[in-house]
Amino acid sequence: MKTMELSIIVAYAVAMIAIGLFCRKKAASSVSGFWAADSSVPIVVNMFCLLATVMSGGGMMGNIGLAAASGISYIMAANLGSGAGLGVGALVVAKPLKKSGAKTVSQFIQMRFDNKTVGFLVPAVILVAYTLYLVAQMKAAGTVGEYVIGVNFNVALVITWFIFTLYVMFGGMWAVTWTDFFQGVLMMLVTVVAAIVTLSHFGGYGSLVSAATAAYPNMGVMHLPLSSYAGFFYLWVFIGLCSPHILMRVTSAKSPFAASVSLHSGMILITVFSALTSIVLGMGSRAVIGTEAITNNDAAFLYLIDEIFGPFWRGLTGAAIYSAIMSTAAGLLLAAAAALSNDIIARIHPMEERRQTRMGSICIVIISVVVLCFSFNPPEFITILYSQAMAFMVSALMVPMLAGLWWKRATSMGALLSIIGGGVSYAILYFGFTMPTFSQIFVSLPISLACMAAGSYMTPAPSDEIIKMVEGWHKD
Amino acid sequence: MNKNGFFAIKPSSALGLIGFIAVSLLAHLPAIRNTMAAGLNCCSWILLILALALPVYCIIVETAELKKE
Repeated sequence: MKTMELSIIVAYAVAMIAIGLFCRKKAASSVSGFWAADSSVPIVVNMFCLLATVMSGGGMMGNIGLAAASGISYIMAANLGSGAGLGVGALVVAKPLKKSGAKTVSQFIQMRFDNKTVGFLVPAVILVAYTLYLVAQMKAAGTVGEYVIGVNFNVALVITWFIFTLYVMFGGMWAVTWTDFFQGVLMMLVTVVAAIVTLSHFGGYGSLVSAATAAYPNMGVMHLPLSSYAGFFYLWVFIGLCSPHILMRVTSAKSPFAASVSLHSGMILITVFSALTSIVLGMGSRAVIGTEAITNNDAAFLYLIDEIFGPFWRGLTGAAIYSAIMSTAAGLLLAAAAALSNDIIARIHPMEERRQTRMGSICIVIISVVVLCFSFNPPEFITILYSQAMAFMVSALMVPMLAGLWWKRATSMGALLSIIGGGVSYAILYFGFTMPTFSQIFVSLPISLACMAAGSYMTPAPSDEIIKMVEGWHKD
Repeated sequence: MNKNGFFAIKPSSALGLIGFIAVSLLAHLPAIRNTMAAGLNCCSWILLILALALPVYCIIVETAELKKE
């Protein structure tokens, strides 16, 4: 067991739980407080929260591992796409979503398309996709525990699970916001320091490139099918347009202007973070590993920090990786619990606000336990696993989301067929055909779009009230 | 009431969106993605610059519009 590293991580864990307990009263006071932090989060806080939310365990570990194993461009496509998704989201989603007053994506889609089946399908899709995403984060937690502090994989898994479940359960969006802010700052600090030390260790950027390409000649080359790079890039752009755990940052902002600027600022942070991790740390990891194959690609970054850092910075890096994992896991857990609690249970059994916040806490625990059960035997490549889960969600939800915001003729039948067509076609393509990774969305999204058009034109146009309501969302 | 077509988008937002789509697509052209610079292909470099330029443009425009109001 590595004492210094363990001490730092314990201090970090205690701080996160303390924040959760501190936020408990405020979170329990209202539904708006529990799920949206009373829409009062400042821009600077939100931008670091977005960094922490978007850049998960994959961002600090899986991505660097993918860069070391498959070259920089593959993972840069995803990272830059995830940043760009915030920017494009700010242009086409943020302001009207904020003005709608909806606290969740499910709530927004239900406001626009008043249909019972849509009302249950949307949270169901979110629950499936986010459970898989959470399992991927748990794998990262187990790996960090094993390599950084020398604890058994399953023990690290359970401890991490316990910590973020606790603070999300007690503190809701208030706790998620303040822990995310702290975690985002820590992630950026460690990444910048690690990048500077890596460059210094290898004698500058040119020498780093030489060392990395000597170990892996395709380091900077786009050697996979184009559809895989483009698919990975645009997938993550689309994820930014319709992901509940990202769009919850919009609902927690103070105003439509603040929501938009938060997303753009978050995009800048994510882009800088992505460049440093993918290019510098990815190449550094490969140069350290050399030409040997590694058994756990997701641990590639840990080989680098073992080489360049002493115990204190290794401990802090471990805490930063845990930050990346927990911040995303907390956001996902909160969004998934909102889908179950607000959008399914509360619709079947309406209840007063205090009971709703308590139900929210219960749903957080239920989902968290299910995730833990699936996490003990996870698959290879964290980033691929959760990207595919998100691709399923994008295939089902992106078209209804955007059509609901921008197309006057979009009807609830169109939305229903679009969700089913997109989600089912993605599943068939993924399980039934051999296609380049992430290329399935280039088929499932047009199918979803065609279903939206067909369903909408088959049914009467939306009412005047709906059109006026959406028009109001677009006015300054 | 007109129930066909799309809700109006601000010209500045449309410009940002079109610029993003155009540059991101062009970056994937064979001539660009097969050209290397500083150890990395130019497609990745262009996407990196785009991912910084787009939010800077949008923040400037949004702040200017808010001040005008």
